Order: sequence, then structure tokens, then C-alpha cells
Amino acid sequence: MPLTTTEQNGARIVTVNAERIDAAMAIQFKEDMRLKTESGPDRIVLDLSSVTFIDSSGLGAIVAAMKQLGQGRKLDLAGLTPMVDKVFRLTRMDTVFTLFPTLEDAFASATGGSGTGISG
Amino acid sequence: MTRQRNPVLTDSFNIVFGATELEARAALAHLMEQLAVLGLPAHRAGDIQLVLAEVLNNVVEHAYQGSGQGEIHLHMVKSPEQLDFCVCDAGRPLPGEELPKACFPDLNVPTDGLPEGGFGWCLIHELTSALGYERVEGRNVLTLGFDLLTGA
Repeated sequence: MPLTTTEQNGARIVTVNAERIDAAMAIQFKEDMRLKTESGPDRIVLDLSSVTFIDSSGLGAIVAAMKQLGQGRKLDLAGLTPMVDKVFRLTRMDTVFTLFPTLEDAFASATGGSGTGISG
Repeated sequence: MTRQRNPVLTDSFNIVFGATELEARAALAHLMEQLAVLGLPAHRAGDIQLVLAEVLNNVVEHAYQGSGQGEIHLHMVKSPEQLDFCVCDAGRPLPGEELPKACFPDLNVPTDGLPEGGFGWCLIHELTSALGYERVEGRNVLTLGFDLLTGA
């Protein structure tokens, strides 16, 4: 599962460079996420803007990725494309995760600040 | 070239493939291409792709227990109003030989208790306008209907 990471405003952005998170790759996704997030900032933002398809296995893998972060850490989701967004809404997972329309939106709000934030 | 005199604007499509994730994904991709050619409204394509992916995953992982052995038959009939599928396999029956219930799991739990599964059948129920299951002579026969004129 091709994942790239960058850091911004004290958070870590994990970008999924794949079009699908589905049954065939759910286990690999979970493991790759664990490697990318087991240490590091409390806030992880998962950039899903390249992902056009997830199924229930993919959804479960994203939930698992959040659970494996552990106490006090947060997984936010950004850039959900229409069908992916629909899966989160239908399963009510949009009440569990904070969903941002774009990556910019994920950093525009004042939430999740760890460390000093510079306003503006 | 003579025109076929079909009184009903109906198209059908049949595909048989092996019960592996890769073959199921390829078969589904091929089906979606056919549906695009037949003029399936784009807003329904996502729903149909998701439902069939869930159904085929279930057949591969549960009916055939991930063995990779066995065949899956996918039959489709499309009219302007309705899209009907039949998915047939010779794997294990559904528990109790009936369709699983449609409720989405409860999410009002602590984070470490959040479910990582159990969403598939809920999505299938939610996105289809008709759903049926029969066990016939050692085969699973799942029928699904999508209303093309309405639908979210």
C-alpha cells in the first residue's frame, strides 16, 4: 500500500497513493499504517483524495488504523471522494471520525493543536 | 445490418469466474465497463460497484472459505428502469440459510471497542431495492435489484 508521510503544524499527514482500499489490501493497509504512525505526533491526518473506492473491509482497516494509534491520539480524514464519503455516512462512521473536505480544511480549523500554533 | 426486434429495451450479461479476489475484481471491473456502455447513470455506478464488491467478497471469503477453489456465476439483466443481478455459487450456505439482518453496528462505544466489520450486509441492504436468497440444490442463489429511476 503506497503511503507517503509529511509533517505539518505538529501533525503527520499520511497520503494514500492508491485508488482503492478494499478486501484485497485491507490487511496490508492496516500494517503499513501501523508502521507509519506507531510513533510520532498525536494527530494523524489521512489524505484520501486519491481513493475513489473503499468497501467494508477498507472501512474496517481505517477503523483499525485509528484504534492502533492508542490513547490520546487522533486520526482525521481529509479529501474524501463522493463514494468514499457515502460509505462513511451510510455506516455513521462520519460520527466517529472528523472528515475534512480537503487537506487545507484539516489545517484551517483550530482543532488538534499540539505545540504552539501560529495564527493567520 | 438488420435491427433486432426486441420489444423490450433489455440487455443481459453473464460471466463465470473463479472464486479468487483477483478474478472477482476483474469480473466486476468488466461488468462496470459494460454497464457504462449500456448507459448506466453515473450516480448509480458507485452503489452497484460497492454492493457487488461486498457480495463477491462474501462468496470468496465465506462461501468458498478463501480456498480460491470454485466458480461464481454473475448474471445481469438491465432495463431502463431496473437492474437485476443473480450471483450463484456452490459454496457453503449463509448461516441459517437466510439473509443476515440489516442493522449497522452500534458506534456508541469507546474507541477501542469500535467494530472493524459487520458493515457489508448493511451496505448491501441499504443500497439495493430488492434482495433475495435461496439455497437450491447445493447452490447459493442471491438476487439483487437496483431501481435506476430513483436511488440516492
